[in-house]
Amino acid sequence: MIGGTFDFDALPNGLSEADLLAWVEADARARAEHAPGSSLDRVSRAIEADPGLGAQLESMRVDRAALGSLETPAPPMTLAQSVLEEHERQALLALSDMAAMGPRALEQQVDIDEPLSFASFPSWFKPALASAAVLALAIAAWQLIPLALPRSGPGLPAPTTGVPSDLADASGDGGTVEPAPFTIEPIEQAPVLAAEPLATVPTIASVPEPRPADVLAARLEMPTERALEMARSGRLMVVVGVDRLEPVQDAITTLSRMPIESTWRLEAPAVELVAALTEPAMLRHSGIYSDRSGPLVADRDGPLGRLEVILAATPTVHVAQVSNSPEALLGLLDVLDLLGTEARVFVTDASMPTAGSMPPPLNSDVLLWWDADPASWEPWTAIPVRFIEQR
Amino acid sequence: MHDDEPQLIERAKAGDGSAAAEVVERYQRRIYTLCVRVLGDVDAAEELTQETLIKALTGLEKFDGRASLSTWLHRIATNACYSRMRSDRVRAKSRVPWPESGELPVPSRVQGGEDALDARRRRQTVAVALDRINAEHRVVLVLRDVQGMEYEQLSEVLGVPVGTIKSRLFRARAALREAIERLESSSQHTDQQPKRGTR
Repeated sequence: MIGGTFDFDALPNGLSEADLLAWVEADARARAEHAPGSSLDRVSRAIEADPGLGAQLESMRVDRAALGSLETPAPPMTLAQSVLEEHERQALLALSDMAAMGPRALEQQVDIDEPLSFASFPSWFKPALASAAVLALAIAAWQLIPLALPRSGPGLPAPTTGVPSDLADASGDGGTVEPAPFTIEPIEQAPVLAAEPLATVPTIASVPEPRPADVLAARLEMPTERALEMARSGRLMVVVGVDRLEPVQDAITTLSRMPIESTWRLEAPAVELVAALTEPAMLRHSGIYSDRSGPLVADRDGPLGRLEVILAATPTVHVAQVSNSPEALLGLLDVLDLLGTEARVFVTDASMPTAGSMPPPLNSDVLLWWDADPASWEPWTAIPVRFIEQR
Repeated sequence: MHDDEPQLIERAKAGDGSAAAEVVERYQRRIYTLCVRVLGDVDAAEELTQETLIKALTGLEKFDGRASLSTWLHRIATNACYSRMRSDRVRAKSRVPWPESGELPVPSRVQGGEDALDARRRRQTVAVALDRINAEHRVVLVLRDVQGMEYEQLSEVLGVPVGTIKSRLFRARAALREAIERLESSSQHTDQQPKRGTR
């Protein structure tokens, strides 16, 4: 066991997770007066042999107490009233349904405390579903038979092999036929079959793929058009906070390989941008990306001097150039998803500062700003991403 | 379980409005607390609490009394939370609110001192860490430690055997501990950063 990580496959002395849980949740008296050979007794002996285990379990006890004492805001005063009004409304609707449909209205209700399952469907649904499945299989089999059979058989149409039908028929009855001179007609146009391969096959209405703009709209907290407008003017930022650097590096690596017009390499104009983003009195460290082909280290001075990447857990600035299409924005958000659950993505329309001008953030509590006192920084790494119109 | 619960349920089933109001009054806070702690979002919690109670009142006919009303309501609410988290999975990363100012733990001024964080800070740290662990672990921890449910109730709410509950619960505690240690480690690291102008 290292730090807070348990090796659940190798718990000490054959103890189970239930044994350890019992120790964590037992009160002080139970732990002190446990019976010899009991679960608590075995855990106690394991703790004597491994004080680190004891410390972990003790910490879990403290966590449990803290969880139990969490304060939760009271529900809004209007909640109860809203529930009762909606309940009343639904009751009236149910009465109306009853009047219109009779007892079947009640039969169609789905269990509310179960995840959706077959059991929740009405009784007629299963036979209907089974019939549909059999029919679908029959259609599929009918379509596949000509492909599966190597040559024609009685009652089946001859497969399309390119061989003249008279030869195919003759070889089918075992006769010997002198092959006629065989010539290949020049192909003057593409076969129609390629253009209409499924014309005779029953098709299932396909579900249309959601448009990138719709997907993007679902992921941004602002209207898509607004986001794109902000992106076009270079005023849209996605700020990502993480508490470990590794996932950020993975995401950056992935992003740098993406086919979209994106880069983490500093272009000449971006040097000034980063200059503006970096507070000169800050601790600087030309660290983690210095071995990359496009290191995130300025090779010339900006307005505030030469700048380097700053240590993790302090604001690290990256600039990504992507086109302003929904697809590109979506692609970037997908990459940011790679940061995993440890990351939080915050979309804001705060302006990206430029050299000589640093507009204040919309909410100083949620962003890591380079002009804030480092003592006030939270243990996050922020990555402001600027969307720049691709020309 | 309240002594008068069976009678209350019968009255509510019979359409007694005051009984329905009593059910809501009794359980709205507990359901709201569950949703807030699991979802980490008061607006969504309000919405799901409302949805849970409406579903329960509307479907009270299906409540057979084998479990307590509280357990049944928790089951409905938990399923609703899971459903919400599944549907919001893609959006979650862009919608989880950034920790409010002061929500993250202030770095300890006594290096390595476990006592450096007072009780309030510890609660804040735990609350933030709870939000970092996976949903399954978060749900079982909230049901056990915040809602105070017994193993058997957890088994009924989550639909898994008691043995599985215990195993899941211990793993959840380990995951929470790891998240807390990570937060505390980050705080200490921040604390070691030089102040502005102290180059």
